[in-house]
Amino acid sequence: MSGGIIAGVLAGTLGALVLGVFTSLLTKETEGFIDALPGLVLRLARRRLPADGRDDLYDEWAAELHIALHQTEGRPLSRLVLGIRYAAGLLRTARRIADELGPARHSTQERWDDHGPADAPAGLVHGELTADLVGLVAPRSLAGGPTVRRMVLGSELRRLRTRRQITPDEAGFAIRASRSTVDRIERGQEQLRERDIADLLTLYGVTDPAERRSLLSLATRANDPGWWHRFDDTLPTWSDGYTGLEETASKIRSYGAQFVPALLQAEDYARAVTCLGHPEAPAHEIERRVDVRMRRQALLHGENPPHFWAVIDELTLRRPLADIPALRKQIRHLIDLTRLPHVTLQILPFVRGGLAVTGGPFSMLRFADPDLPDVVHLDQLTSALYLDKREDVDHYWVVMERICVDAEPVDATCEILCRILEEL
Amino acid sequence: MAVAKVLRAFLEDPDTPCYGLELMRETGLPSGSLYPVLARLERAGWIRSEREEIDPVAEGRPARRYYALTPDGLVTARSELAALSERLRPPARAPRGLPQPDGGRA
Repeated sequence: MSGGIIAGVLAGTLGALVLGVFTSLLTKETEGFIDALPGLVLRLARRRLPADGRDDLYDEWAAELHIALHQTEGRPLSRLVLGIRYAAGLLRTARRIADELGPARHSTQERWDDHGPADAPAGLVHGELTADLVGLVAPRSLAGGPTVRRMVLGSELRRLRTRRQITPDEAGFAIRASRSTVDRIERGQEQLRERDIADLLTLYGVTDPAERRSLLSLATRANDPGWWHRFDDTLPTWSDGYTGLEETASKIRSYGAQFVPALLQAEDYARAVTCLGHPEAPAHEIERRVDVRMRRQALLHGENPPHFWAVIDELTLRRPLADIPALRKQIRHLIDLTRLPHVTLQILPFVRGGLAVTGGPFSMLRFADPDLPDVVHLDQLTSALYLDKREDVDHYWVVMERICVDAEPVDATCEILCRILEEL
Repeated sequence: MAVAKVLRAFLEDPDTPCYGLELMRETGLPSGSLYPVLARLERAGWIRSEREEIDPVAEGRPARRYYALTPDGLVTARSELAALSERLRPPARAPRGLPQPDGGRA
């Protein structure tokens, strides 16, 4: 009796065991099959690709499918659905993907880190996002590159040197260094020693103690951390800002709100702006400042002028800072300037441009030297702020592009200016 | 607006490269829509891709291809999206190109 029971239990256990093994084998088998199926579809997709670059794309997809099948939680069936959907989508569009990609992707790709600054992406996406935003420039900035202070000081030194017609070799000799050191100093890429700067200033004939002090203090603070760089406290009274940077720039974009940008100001208008900024100043000082500003504008009329692209707020052009005649002269001056091939001027009508009022006027400087980052220059009445941090620069680029989009097209500028002139 | 969706996904975290499947999850786009967009953006220079440098045998999986915005693409994408959302907004008080309202005298 008991033997029968034992035999029954044994048989039952054995049966269960065999069944278990069998189902497990079956599951494994189906699982393997299920996992193989999307791979099969993917191989079909591969066959639709042109031979050139086929493996590259297939490898990419196979790796992704591997993730989908192995790293996703879920039962075999949902994995199957996921995998099939993934592969089927590619089967359908394989040829289009290859077409879109073109022969472009090189197998020997440059490393990401090597990716140098490039001009704006050439072929913009056809159709879906229109490229009517004029992509003249795309931002450029460097982590750990020269700070604005060093760039400002460097470009000032270059200006002073060329004014005296001193060669980099002569300058290098004066500070016991090579011409390439001088070159790096002028590009803001060299750590600055106060003594070298002092020697250079002497060589360049800068003897005025105030001027020397201001440039030397720039040198001592050149390596200070800080996301912005304010220059008002070091500016000599006779100066019109550190214009060296402006002279080094190859492209300047400027948004003029409240005032017409300094480089575009007519003399009487510039006088009115200066008086507003320095109400206490005696007449001769105002005149000197105006004179400096006028000379600064020679930049636009010299050889190799930068491309200057400005957007001016319409309201600015309707608000007389001093009197109406000065404003009229200013507007006529602008009309003349639009004839220069390297000056682009747009007017931002006051019915638009909500974004533009969130910040004041500013300029962005781009340099021919690809090693130099873009610099944002915030124009203020009595001081200047420079930003060179990537996030800030990026942000201002976006704002600048938006302002240009909101503004009236370039070919409407003359007409608008004439209309304002009539209505004044 | 598949392109806009993909760009938005990249802009969520511009510093982290992602592979196709991740982007599919983030954008909700099926593979058949996503990959043509990626190919187009890559050709236009907005994004770039790089094969992961791993030993497939040691890792037990094939190497993936990671995509990321190029420096230029990052900013262009931002401004394009800003302009796009602007265009999709209901029109402002005065449509483009109209002269100023009557009171516009200085």
